Amino acid sequence: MRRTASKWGLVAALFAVAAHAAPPVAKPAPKLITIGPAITQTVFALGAGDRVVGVDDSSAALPEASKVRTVGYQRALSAEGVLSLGAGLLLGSAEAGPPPVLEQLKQAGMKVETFANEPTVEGARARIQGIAERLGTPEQGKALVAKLDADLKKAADRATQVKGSKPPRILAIYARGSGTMMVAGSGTVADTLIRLTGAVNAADSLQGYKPLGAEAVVAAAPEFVLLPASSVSSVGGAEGLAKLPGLSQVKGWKLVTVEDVDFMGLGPNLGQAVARVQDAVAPASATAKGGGK
Amino acid sequence: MSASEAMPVPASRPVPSRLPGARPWVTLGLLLALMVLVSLAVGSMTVPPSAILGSLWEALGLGEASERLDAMQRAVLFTLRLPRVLMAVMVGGVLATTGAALQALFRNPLVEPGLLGTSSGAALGAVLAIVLDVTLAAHVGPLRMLVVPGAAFVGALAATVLALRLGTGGGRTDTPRVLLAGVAVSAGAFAGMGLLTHAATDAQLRTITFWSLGSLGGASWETVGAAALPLAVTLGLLLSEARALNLMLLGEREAWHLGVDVERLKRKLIFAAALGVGAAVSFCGMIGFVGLLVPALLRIALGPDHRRLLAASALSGASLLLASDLLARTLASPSELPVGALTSVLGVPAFIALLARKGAA
Repeated sequence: MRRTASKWGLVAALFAVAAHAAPPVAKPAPKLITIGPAITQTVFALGAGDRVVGVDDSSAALPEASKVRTVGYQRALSAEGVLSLGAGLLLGSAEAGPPPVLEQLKQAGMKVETFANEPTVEGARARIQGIAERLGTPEQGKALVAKLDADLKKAADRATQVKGSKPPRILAIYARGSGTMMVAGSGTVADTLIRLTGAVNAADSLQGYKPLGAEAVVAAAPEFVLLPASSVSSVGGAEGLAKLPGLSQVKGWKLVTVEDVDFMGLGPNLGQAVARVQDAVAPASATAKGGGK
Repeated sequence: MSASEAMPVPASRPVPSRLPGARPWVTLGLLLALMVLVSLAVGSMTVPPSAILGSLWEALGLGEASERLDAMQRAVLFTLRLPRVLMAVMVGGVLATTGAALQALFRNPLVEPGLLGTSSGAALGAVLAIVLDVTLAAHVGPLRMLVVPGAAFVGALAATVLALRLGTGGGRTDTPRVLLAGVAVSAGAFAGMGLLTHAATDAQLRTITFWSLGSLGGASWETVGAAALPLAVTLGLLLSEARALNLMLLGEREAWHLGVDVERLKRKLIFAAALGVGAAVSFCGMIGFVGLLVPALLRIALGPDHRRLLAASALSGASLLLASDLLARTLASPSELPVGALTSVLGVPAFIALLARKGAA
């Protein structure tokens, strides 16, 4: 008994020496839980991805976060489940909840911070900067915002180049199976994305997400239909979409997809998403210059 | 009048003439105590089971804990699991007891609180509050957290009172008419919810879906405290009428001749049901099937004597909801399954087996 005690004492002493010998290390940064794909993407883009121990299930669709454990749907979090991952800080979109669970997390000593979800470029900048400051890396945040601005500038230039021709009409649809089709009206992330490409949202007379009405789709006369990538298979691809009442009557439209994260929130890769949509719609707006990136 | 005599409560045994024996209490009580301990010990966060009893003693000021929990474990045990377990015990107990009492009152084994319009009224209130959230938020400030449970509670009471009013003619409460009125009120509430979901945003729709699936995840000491009074009052009101409910099994007129104030009993029990179910639904969302299943199973096991049936329902309902909640928070950990769906998953096969047995008999 005594011998073991002294042995442990020796080990402890060695550790103490080792600790002194090693260069002084700052207190380890707390582990993170990130809720909401745009938030998760921002945290990874800021270089704090190795601190993330849990994400919500829509964030898990991001390739960089695919190996992180999921804590379930962002609006139906479980306090104990979140705590069990041993994180000290939760960064979430405004959707993270339900509120009583966030309250429980705070009571259990976890830091919880949520960021507004405004679908504007200004909102995206503020979100990136806010997260960067919370992670103690404001410079990286500034760099990320600068990169976003540069990407968007490029996209805006490209949009003005094709100004002479008629801007393409894009209809953004969020679908989970053909039974639940919602079109994105104004004030949505998809609407912002479409505007930034220089195109017109074919459903901009609507506010927010609205169920797809067949006649309204015909009246909107979209040249392109924009879907989040994961939605495409749920409606049976372009062929499935073409069979839907309404879209079946619109001739010659083309399918455009973006990553789910870009359809749901404006993250640091917004500029690239805009460029991708521009690439996809460019041939129709008859421009040869827009090809180069 | 004649319709109320159409479906007597099925008695697989004759009403026992002896007083309730002690055995079912001991068994069901021990089962509940075991479920409470298991629920406190198991979860996504590891809390050493050996330390739990000691920590509970210490928290009650009864002695020193021999094993120390770290701060996080203490927080999980005392701010998350303990209130949640208490909420599950109270809500499960009240739902099952209410089911048992209403089945006796309406002399129909398929009656559950949902049939009086109580649950759908609560749901309509909650959905209304969720859809109006942004408008309300500006006026209620810090009370915002209580808006949804509050609205659900008001909805539950309003729907039940409406059903009771519609079912009362010439000063008499006509039981089949109350049930029919409950069906109509439910249909109206669902129609209202349908229209509201159309007005709801995508985010609100998802909140509504998750609310309607039920969860004990929001249980805290505040909600437990707020729910304790209505739930305890309900339980007291229901348990105090066991003898009268036994007499009701003979038929309303017979019960009246035996000295039961039938009108008063009906109103008292329906009020208790609205109070208890309203409180349960408002804090935990819709948790189906407990009120239907538990009394139906116990009636087969224990016979129809309500002096045992009501209290046994309370104990078993509490155990069933604890078990369901335990599965809900551990099966998919660290995320959580909806407990309302799990009670049905556990309950439906048992119920079908029960029906099949009845068919064969």
